[in-house]
Amino acid sequence: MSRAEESLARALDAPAAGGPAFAAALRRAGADDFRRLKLPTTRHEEWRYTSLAGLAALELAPAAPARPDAAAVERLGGLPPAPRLVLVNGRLDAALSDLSGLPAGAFAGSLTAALRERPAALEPFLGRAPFRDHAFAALNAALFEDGAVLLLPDGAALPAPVQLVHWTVAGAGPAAAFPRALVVAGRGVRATVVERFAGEGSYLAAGLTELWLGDESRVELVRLQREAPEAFHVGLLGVTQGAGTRFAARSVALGARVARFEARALLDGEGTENLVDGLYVAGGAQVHDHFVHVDHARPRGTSRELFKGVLDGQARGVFTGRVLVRPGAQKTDAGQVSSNLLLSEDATVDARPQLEILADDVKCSHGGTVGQLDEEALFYLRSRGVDRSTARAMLTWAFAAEMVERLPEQVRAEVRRLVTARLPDGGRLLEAA
Amino acid sequence: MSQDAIRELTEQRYKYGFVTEIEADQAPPGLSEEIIRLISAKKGEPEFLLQWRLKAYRHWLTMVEPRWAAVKYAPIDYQKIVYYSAPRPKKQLGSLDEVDPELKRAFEKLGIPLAEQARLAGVAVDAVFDSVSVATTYKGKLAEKGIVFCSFSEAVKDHPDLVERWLGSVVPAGDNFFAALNSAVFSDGSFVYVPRGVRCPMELSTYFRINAENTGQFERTLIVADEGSYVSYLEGCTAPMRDENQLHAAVVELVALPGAEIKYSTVQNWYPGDAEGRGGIFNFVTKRAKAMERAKISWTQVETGSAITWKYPSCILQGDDSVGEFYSVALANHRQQADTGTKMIHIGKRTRSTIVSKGISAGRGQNTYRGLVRMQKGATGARNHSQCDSLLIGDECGAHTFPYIEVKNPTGQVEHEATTSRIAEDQLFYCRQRGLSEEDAVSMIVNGFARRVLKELPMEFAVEAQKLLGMSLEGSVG
Amino acid sequence: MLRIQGLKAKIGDREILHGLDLAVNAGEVHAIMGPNGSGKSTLASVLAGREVVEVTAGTVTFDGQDLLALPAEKRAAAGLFLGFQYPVEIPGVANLYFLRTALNAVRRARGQEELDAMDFLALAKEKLKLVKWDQSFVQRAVNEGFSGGEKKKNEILQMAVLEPRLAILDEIDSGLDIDALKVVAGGVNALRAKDRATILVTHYQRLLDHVKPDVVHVMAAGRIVKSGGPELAHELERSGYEQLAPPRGEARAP
Repeated sequence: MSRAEESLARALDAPAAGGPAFAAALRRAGADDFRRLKLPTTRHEEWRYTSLAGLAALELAPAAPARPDAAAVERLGGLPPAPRLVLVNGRLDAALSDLSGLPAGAFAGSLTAALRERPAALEPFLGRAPFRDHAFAALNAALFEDGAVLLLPDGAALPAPVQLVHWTVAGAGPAAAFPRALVVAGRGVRATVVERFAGEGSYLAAGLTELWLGDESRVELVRLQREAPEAFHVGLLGVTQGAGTRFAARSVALGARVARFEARALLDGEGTENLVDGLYVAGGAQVHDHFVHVDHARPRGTSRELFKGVLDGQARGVFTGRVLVRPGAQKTDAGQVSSNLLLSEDATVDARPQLEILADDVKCSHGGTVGQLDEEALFYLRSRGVDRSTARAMLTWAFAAEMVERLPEQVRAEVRRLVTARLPDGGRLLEAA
Repeated sequence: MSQDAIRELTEQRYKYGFVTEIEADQAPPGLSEEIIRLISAKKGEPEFLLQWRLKAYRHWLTMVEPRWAAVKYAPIDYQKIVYYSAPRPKKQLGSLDEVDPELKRAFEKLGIPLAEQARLAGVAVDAVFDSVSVATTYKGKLAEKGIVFCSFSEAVKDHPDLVERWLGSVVPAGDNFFAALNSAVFSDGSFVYVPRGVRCPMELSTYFRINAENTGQFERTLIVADEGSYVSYLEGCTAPMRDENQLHAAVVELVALPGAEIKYSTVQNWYPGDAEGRGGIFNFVTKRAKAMERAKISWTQVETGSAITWKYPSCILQGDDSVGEFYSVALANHRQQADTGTKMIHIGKRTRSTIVSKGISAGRGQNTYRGLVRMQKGATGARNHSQCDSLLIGDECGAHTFPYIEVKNPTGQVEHEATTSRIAEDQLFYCRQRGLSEEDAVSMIVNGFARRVLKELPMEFAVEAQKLLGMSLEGSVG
Repeated sequence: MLRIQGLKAKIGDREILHGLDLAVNAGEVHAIMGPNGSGKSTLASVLAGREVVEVTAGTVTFDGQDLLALPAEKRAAAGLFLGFQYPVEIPGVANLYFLRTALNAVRRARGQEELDAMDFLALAKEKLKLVKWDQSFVQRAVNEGFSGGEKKKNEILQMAVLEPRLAILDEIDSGLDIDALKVVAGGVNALRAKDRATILVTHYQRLLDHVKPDVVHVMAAGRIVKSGGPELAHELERSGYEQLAPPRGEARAP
């Protein structure tokens, strides 16, 4: 066993107490599963391009309760507008949270409190997202301290995005936090949720967000990952969609030493639409791994994935997109595209777009490109008087901008600023102003 | 498409099912060092080859059978397989007239252009019957140009230096489970050497055919094209109907020295098993080519047969400016499973590769494309374009696409496209309105789908492949 | 030649033809006009045997035989040709090869000898003149990458090669510039003969300036509501379809 596995095993031996029986069962199953599965290595097909050796070497302690002061809040990116739930080291911080603007009938709050006060509303959903035999899902189930819960009744329409803030603040040694969120939308809900991940110090943030869409709902989830430079981020997103629903996940990954975003969607009703977008900007020795699994279980589902990566330094980008069309899921229309821009000699990309099709009346496609900046375009800009660095920044931004423009307008300007700041020579861009 | 038409299409029976009665010279079943020594001794091999085989065997013992492919089959008992079986020659063959008439009739049923047919068709045939080469035509004409085209056994006897130099240079003895098995027990195969600057004047062709029951077939093919030379090689495979699954684990190695070009075409129509999935060949093949500077490798394959196909003809683009191509049509009908694709390893600068894969699934067939495009650190300016399309006929089949793309050089350009579709109702109706029957329409549309690959085949082969595609789905193509 | 009596047909649950009668004799050119949604294309589909349209009542005979009992390819062999409103693309199948296969299928069904590649090429060359094409068009895949006008010309070429007894041309004039329209009209006129008939399904009168019909029918809400000579087409062009009284109160043309 690695140091990380040994230290995690100790945490598993001291399970959290309290809560309803189904939650205790979930924790027990999670602990058993993790003991069996252990941390994945590159020998696991699904992790073959992303090494967690750096994580395995850490002695991890469960992240203790923490209370960031005003200066720390600023360093973590500040507080987004209300309504917001702020979790620090996986626990809801009521003082930093602000639920104003939440429509009547909607519930937002602490997972621990909800398990105590309304277990029946949570039982059909908590821990039932499509993650099986998954080490990090198991770890989170076993060790989550608290979490964010958002329950939206039939017909609810959110006037503004609900912000779920996940901060991890490590102490003296490396910490492990298990941020968890559960969003249950009833029938015909209209909602936008923004999840933010940030932190300080050396830590593992192994999060799990479960989302349930009742029939005819439309939900958009923005995911803004700005973890600390030393952090390991594993973010799991499990979505189950009812009939006639539309779900869009839009991920922007900027931070962490090693970051893995894994989205699994089960299209469990007829006529669903599923979109998963991602933009990742990585430099230095960062690894950004994106894994999307879309399970078309019913007829007339549409799914689209578009991922774009900008890689500099010795960064590594990984994209795995798997589309499964089950028998009987006729009239499925699935498409995925992954494009990568390599800005340096040492940046690398590994892409695996995969189709598994077991129905015949389907339209599925995937496409991908890997390349560098177009020398012709660079030359063109330079011949018009733009210096080389600015020209490079302009073309790099042009590549990434499409993804930013697809974001809901409430976060677009902020993300545009964050992304351009991360691009090499991004400061030269007028758009950054 | 109507259920009846689908049924009709998918219920076609295998047309090459017949068994030839020839006395076989067989080793007892099972695998051991003794068997390997027996094979080597029977063939009168030099010591280096025996040692090579034994090394491969010892390595094989440490390996486990790969299970990552998307294919399912009952475990293979390697101790039940007969590893050596040779047609018993009455005497040394001097000419084609002396070939066993049974054998000739079998070839005729297959439509192989042997002897006079070969001359008319301009095809030189090295026919492999079970494991030993029995007839080679055109050797004389090729010899004038210094081209060596013979059975592997003959090459071992007549050109041991060439064999020793290149054998295992592309597919090492312990490369993978099935390649290691082949290296230990290979019985025969083909050998080609084209000297520097020589353009081989005709298509070289070998027909493989699996005959005796429970004999694994372990050919080894080695083609070396010296600097600036060119050769086009055709491989056709058919096996008779058998109830028990038969293992076929071949290894093909191609070496293209600077400026050389090798075109390797395969039409594989081994017995696919019956509609319930009984019988049929397990086809686990390792094919790999190494291309030096400015060399070009082109793999073209039409895979309509076998119960299970597991093969990934690959190119190691070692030299600067070398080129690799892979054109594939794979058809899986009934309960056939095909897991095939290619690896393009870009090592040299400005290396280029093209992948065109067309998968057709019908009945309960499962078709998987699995491929890797890797741009190594030094592969500055390398390019790849991949196109993988799947066509589905009926709602019980499956099509799977697993491309792996690994880029370690920023100047590399990789483009990948994949589509999956079925034959559109309106395409069928359009054809039927013009008077075509439904099955002719399907066959025509399937051939249209596969056209980009079929046109890469040499003419004689293209016609045969087109017929095979039609036959594997229905009666014949108009 | 063609007799349609009391034809009712539906697509899914929606009835589109509500009892249609039509008779076409050998040697005649009929034009069927009508607004969008009147059922013109559905009629063409029923006659060609498209399975998605279900006939619920009525009879159709073609040269005395029950047309509705035949599958699509048998109807083609019997000499019925449908020029598609939206010709279908068949990637990878060369036009020439497709045409030869179709012609030989039809010839086989008629007990005629099949044409070999050489004879067919000679025939195709002759027919190509009709649409003013060079051979490069027939080497390309069927309709793949063709412009709208090229696809329609290709329909005319196929018709010329197959020499049907009855050609039903569904909006063959839509999306054509004037030069293409003349080529298409020329193709239709070239096929006019005592033992053949043509049905032109069209929305506009302009094709009828170049192909003079013997009979013009007006279709609305799934029935033929008016028939007359070529002058009826001009009348429609002037006053539109609006003034046509629906046969019964409930069936108003949209």
